[in-house]
Amino acid sequence: MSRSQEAAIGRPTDVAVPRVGFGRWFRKHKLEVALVIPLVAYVMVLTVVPILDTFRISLSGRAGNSFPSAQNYTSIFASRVFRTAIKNTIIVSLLSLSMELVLGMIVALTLHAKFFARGFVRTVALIPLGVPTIVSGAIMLLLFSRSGYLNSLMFVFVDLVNNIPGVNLEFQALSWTVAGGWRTLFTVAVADMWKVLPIVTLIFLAGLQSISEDVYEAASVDGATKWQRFMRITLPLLVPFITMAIILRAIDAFRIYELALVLAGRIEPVLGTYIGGRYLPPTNDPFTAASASIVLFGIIMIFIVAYLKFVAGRSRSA
Amino acid sequence: MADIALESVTRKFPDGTLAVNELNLEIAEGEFVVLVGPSGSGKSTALRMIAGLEEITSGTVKIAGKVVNDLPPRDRDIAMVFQNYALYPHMSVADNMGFALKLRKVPKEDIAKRVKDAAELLGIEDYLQRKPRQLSGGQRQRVAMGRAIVREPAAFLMDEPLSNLDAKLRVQMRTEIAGLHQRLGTTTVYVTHDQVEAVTMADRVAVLRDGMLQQVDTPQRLYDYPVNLFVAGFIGSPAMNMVPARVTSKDSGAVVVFGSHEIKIPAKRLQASKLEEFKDKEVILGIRPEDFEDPDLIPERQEENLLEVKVSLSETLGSETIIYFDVDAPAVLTKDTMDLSSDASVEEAAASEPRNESTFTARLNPKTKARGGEAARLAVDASRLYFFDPTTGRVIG
Repeated sequence: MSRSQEAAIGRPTDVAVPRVGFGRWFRKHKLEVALVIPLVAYVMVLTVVPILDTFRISLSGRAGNSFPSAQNYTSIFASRVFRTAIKNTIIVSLLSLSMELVLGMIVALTLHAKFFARGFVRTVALIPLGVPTIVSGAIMLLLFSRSGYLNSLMFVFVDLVNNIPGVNLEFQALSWTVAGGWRTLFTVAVADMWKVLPIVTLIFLAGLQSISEDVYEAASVDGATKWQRFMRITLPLLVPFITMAIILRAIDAFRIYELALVLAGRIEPVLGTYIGGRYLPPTNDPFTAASASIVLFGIIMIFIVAYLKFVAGRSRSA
Repeated sequence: MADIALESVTRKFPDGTLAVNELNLEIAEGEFVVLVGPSGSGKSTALRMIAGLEEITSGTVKIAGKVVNDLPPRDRDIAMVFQNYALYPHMSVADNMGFALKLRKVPKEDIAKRVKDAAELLGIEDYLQRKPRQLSGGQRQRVAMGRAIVREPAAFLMDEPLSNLDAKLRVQMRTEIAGLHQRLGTTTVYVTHDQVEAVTMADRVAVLRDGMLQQVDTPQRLYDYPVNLFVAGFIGSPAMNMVPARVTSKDSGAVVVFGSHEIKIPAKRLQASKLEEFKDKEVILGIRPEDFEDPDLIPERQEENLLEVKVSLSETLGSETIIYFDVDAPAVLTKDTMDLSSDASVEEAAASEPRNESTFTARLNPKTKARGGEAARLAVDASRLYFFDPTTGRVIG
């Protein structure tokens, strides 16, 4: 690759090209530079600068005279609510992620099979993607509130069971969302799963379609049962797609906000709602909000780096 | 090892297509049988029914005397080699080859030994730890063969295993597979669309068309005694020349006339067949390219049955010279020949435009002086003429 080509795709090492060389390079690539400038400006103004500014705020104090100081960080880590928020975020993420993977696999395997009106069913399965997050949160309220469908179902179930002589179950209507504890976290995780299941399903479906049919045929001639074909052929060949789904979804799951806000409110904070609560009235504290944001940013960065290393990197070398 | 028997086996696809129609075929223990035919002839479907990968609509498939219609592939004790090799991409070569044994819970040391033996047999022992994507096409093909061999199955089923290789490698693997069969002696059913592959490898060749078995016999007998136009045109390369002709009496004997040419039919040939019944009716005459020769280059001097032709093109191959010449008679346009011309392996099949001309091919001694653009005289071996009934396509004999 020549120097100018390298510079054109923006290798940082080529920033320090000698002045004369730079002038010539610039004349040669005027159009490319002009085309790239809007994107660079967009990323700078809307992403890089806000992140840097948040970083700066997170190190500032209310008085403004103690920059840089880690005081905001020490104060949020000392806060029990913040630690709970981190714990809750991790619980919700792991819970929704594992439900998504299992259900996504089942749905993808179902949609991969040939059956009547498969195209229609595949389209229907995508519907949750088109529902605004806040609306899906509202739908979940219908399911999980004290007079919601889940409780009604439980009553029906308990009545059925009570028909058996000698059984006398009692069921109290539960208010799943505002109960606090694992029930609230569970509803948030279910809501999140419902919302993004189509994405996970699509990733798995793409993976399933990349496995050629004759590999399964070879395996069945070689003596594999259906279950063995799934365990020894399908699953190992889906590993890159599972990795992709896990990491992409993890990035998303940690910054959960709307669903947690609608379903859990302040009862069980997650990082997103904690940050919102710090920033918005009545707290009005942008400094701790900023430092909590940076912590969240750090967690998400871990997964982004993992994605680049395990998913993007591998597909490039393959 | 086992024999395989197909009895009135039929496969009807859900859309109503009869892929295989009442196929009867017996494959003896240790025999190498090739199913050959153009695409859509049902040869792969037939093989997949033996493997258990395709449903059998009616009829029975027996392996080692046992009806296997309702057995899943894994209970049929057969190994299959696929056209695209179908190697397991996530497994090493050794794991690919040992997969079936592992599923059968064969002890690890035994698997390792059998894999090693098979790898040595195929010359792939250096690649055992590689993944399929790190191998060339020829190496993958060998791994696919190895995966079948380690199983020591009752039969090998091979579905166009060489069609993804380049021409040179294909010829080499052809010999290797034939050699392997000689050494292992396992019953083998082999599917190909390439008649050269079929006749060079097979103990017996089954020619299929439109799901129907046309003829099954040894390669030499298929070449010498084709039962119909289709088999006659399919077996042999370059393909048999075919032309509408008329058998008439002349002088004391009979001649066959096509265009402005005339060939005297030997009396023996006439008596031994039903050709008499077709006198003065239209027949289709078939002449193999090999049955033409430069009259100056045959041991005994031939005075009759010499065709005066104008050579349009000659191809010098060193060991032989192929010449093409036009005959002033229309090309044969029956369903048989149309089916043939859609197949890539048949060169110079009858031209499809309706004109009073068809191209003949002759395979001559390379010492011939016949050259493109010049006139030439060709001697025909009249004892080796083929006659076909134009309405049924069946051979007259």
